[in-house]
Amino acid sequence: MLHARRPDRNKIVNWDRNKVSWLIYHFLVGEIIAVYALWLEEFFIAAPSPIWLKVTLTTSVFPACCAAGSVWLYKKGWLR
Amino acid sequence: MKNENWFARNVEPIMSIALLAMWVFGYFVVGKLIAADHSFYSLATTADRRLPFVPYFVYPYVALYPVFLLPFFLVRDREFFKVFGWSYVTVMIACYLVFWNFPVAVERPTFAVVDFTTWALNLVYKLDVPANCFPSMHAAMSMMAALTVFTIDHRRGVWVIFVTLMIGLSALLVKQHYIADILAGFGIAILTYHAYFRQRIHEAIAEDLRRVPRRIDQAFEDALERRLEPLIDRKIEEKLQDLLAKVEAARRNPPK
Repeated sequence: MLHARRPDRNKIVNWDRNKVSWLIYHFLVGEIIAVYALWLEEFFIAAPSPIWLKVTLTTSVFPACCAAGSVWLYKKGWLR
Repeated sequence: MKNENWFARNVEPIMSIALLAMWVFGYFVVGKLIAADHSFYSLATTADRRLPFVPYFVYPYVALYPVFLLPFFLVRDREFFKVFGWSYVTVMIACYLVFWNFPVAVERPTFAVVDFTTWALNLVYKLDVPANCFPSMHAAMSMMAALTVFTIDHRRGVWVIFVTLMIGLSALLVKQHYIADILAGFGIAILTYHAYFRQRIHEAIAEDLRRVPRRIDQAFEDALERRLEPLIDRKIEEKLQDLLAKVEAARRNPPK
C-alpha cells in the first residue's frame, strides 16, 4: 500500500530551513526532467541546433528555471 | 544552529562532493588497474545478444548523476543522513571489491557519430572504461538513491525508482552492461538498504567500535600479565634460594 504512508516531513528539506539545499534539490530534479525532455525532443523532432545549445539548455538553463520555479510555487503555497 | 561549526552547517554539499569524488575516482582507478591485467570475464547471455543497441537510451543512462545526488539535498535529518551516507560508501566498496576480484568487460558496438544522440553516446563511451561491469554501479547507486528517497517519501520515491529502472534498462540498451550486471547492482543496493535501514547494522558496528578501547586495554593487561608472571616468579624463587642458602650457611656456621 504505497499511498498509505505519509512522507516524513521532519526529514525533508524545506525552503524555510535550508534554501541552498532546496535550490540544489530542485535543480537536480530539473536536470532529470531536462534529460527526459531532451530524449523526447531528439526522438520525435531532433531539431538541428548546435550541440553547445542543447548541452547548455539541458545542464544549466532548464534546471535553473526549475529551481526558480520551485521557489515561486513554494511562495504560492503549492509545494509545502 | 549558530553554535554549529562550518562543517556541520555545510555537511550536505561537502558529503555529496566527497562521495561523488570517491565514486568517480575509485571507479577509474580500479578500472585502470584491472585494465592493465587484460584478463576479463564475459557474462554475455543469449538474452544480452538479442537486446538491440538503441543509442537513444543514452539520455536515461546519464540521468544517474543527478539521481545519485538527490538524497543529499532532500534529506534534512542528520541521523538519517549518516545512515544513507554509510550505505553509499558500503555499496561503493562492495562494487570495487567485486571489480577487483572478478573483472568483467563488455563488448561495445561501433557506430558513426551522425547526430546529437550518437555524439552524446560517443562521449559516454570515451569517458567510461569498458571494464568495471559486474556489478553495475549505475544500477547499484541509483537504486540506493531511490530506496533512500522512498524511505522518507513514497511519492517521490516511486518516481525515483521509475527513473532507476529506466537507468538499468538504458545500461543494457546502450550496451554498457550485461543483464547479470544490472541484477547484481540492484541486488547489492537492496541488501545494503536492508542491512542499514532495516537491520540498523551501523548501530551494531558503532556499539562494537565503542567496545574496542576497552578490549584493547584488557588484551594489553592480559599480555603484560602473561609476560611478567614468569619473570616475577623467577625473581622470587632466586631471592628465596638466596635466603635459604644464607640460612643454611648461618646454621652451619653459627655466630660465636
